[in-house]
Amino acid sequence: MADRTSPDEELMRALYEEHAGPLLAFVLRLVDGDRQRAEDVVQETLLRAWRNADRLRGAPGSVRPWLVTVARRIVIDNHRSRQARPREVDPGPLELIPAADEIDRALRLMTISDALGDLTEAHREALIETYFRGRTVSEAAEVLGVPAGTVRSRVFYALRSMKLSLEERGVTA
Amino acid sequence: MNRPAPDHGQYERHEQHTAVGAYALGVLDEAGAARFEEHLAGCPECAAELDGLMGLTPLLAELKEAGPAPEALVPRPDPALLDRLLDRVAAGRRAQRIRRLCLVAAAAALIVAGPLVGAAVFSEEAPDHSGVSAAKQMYEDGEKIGAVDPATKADVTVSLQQKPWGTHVALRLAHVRGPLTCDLVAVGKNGERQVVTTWAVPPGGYGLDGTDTAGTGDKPDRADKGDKWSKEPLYTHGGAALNRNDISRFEVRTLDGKLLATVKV
Repeated sequence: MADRTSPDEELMRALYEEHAGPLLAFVLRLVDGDRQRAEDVVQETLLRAWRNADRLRGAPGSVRPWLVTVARRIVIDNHRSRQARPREVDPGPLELIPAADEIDRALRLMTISDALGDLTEAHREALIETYFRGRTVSEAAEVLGVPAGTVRSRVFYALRSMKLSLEERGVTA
Repeated sequence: MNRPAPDHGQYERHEQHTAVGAYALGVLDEAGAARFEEHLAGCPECAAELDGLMGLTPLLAELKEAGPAPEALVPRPDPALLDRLLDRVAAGRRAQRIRRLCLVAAAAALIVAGPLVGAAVFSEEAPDHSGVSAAKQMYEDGEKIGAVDPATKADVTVSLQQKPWGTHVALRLAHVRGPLTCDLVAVGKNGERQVVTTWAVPPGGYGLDGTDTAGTGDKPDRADKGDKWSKEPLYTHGGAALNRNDISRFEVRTLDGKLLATVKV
């Protein structure tokens, strides 16, 4: 088995811990939720990041934009080769989206995802089961099998934590 | 209308304070929202809290709209993904180590290929080992001109490559016995002399088969004592700040001035 404690492996672990989840969420949006494809793209993107680690380390805060740009590139390239058609005839839907806006938006979404990921499981669950699934507090309470007051207060503390966490990440809520 | 008991009122008040989050997100049912609005009218704290939380809602709305599906909002990649990545890193690291070694070799070659600078570097590395294969490769690649000196029998071939900075010179030297310290000198058509490289010939010499008597070293009694002559020729290289066409000859000399061989080019 390979040595898994070298600086190279540590670097890859750090890239994975910090970015794999948010990057996966981003890529899932680009590939219509195809989990297998998305993970392949994340794998390729993180490998490329690892190969370019020296340069990326030299520019703080540049890792996410770089990852998003490269992941998007890989998705488009895969899309093109799957289509095996000249792109002039049929540009992929991704290419119709202005890249700069798309990347800004992706970065913002990843930051929100990060903040969501920072929540305790119970707090995140309360948000997801209400807001993201379009349920009221009472409906979610029934699904979760806890009192409505508990869901209500979890939603409250979840929002407070997210607000702080987004402010720390430089996103003003 | 019955007023709630004081402790119940306090509980109710706490309940309403925490409802501000659900209210901001619009996930209270109608009755709950109405109750909170009633509370909000008399609670400046909740008004301030609500104001703060309302900034979050467009961000959450954007995330909700963009997807992915709620269960994948904070997706946990398959742990096998990390394993695959670490495997690829290990493989990449091996490849990179090889690449780095190649780069080191290439860098070394660049240093020694520079005019004059290379001489000292290479004399330290003589007689063989790491740099020699590179020198041999450079020798193979160039324009080769050789001569065997009628007096010393030293067998000298230079291999030339024109460069922007002058002429790269690789040298093959055989039929020389040591110990000696030598240099290779490029002599220009105008008589200018430039040292291409210097090196030491070890006692075993270079390119000898044991019957040779070439060179200016000790009498060949070493062979009788069982000492090994080196059968391998020397390959080394350097450069001269002269264009190929401006060079008339190369001389191999000992540092005390004895001429071992001349190669006219």
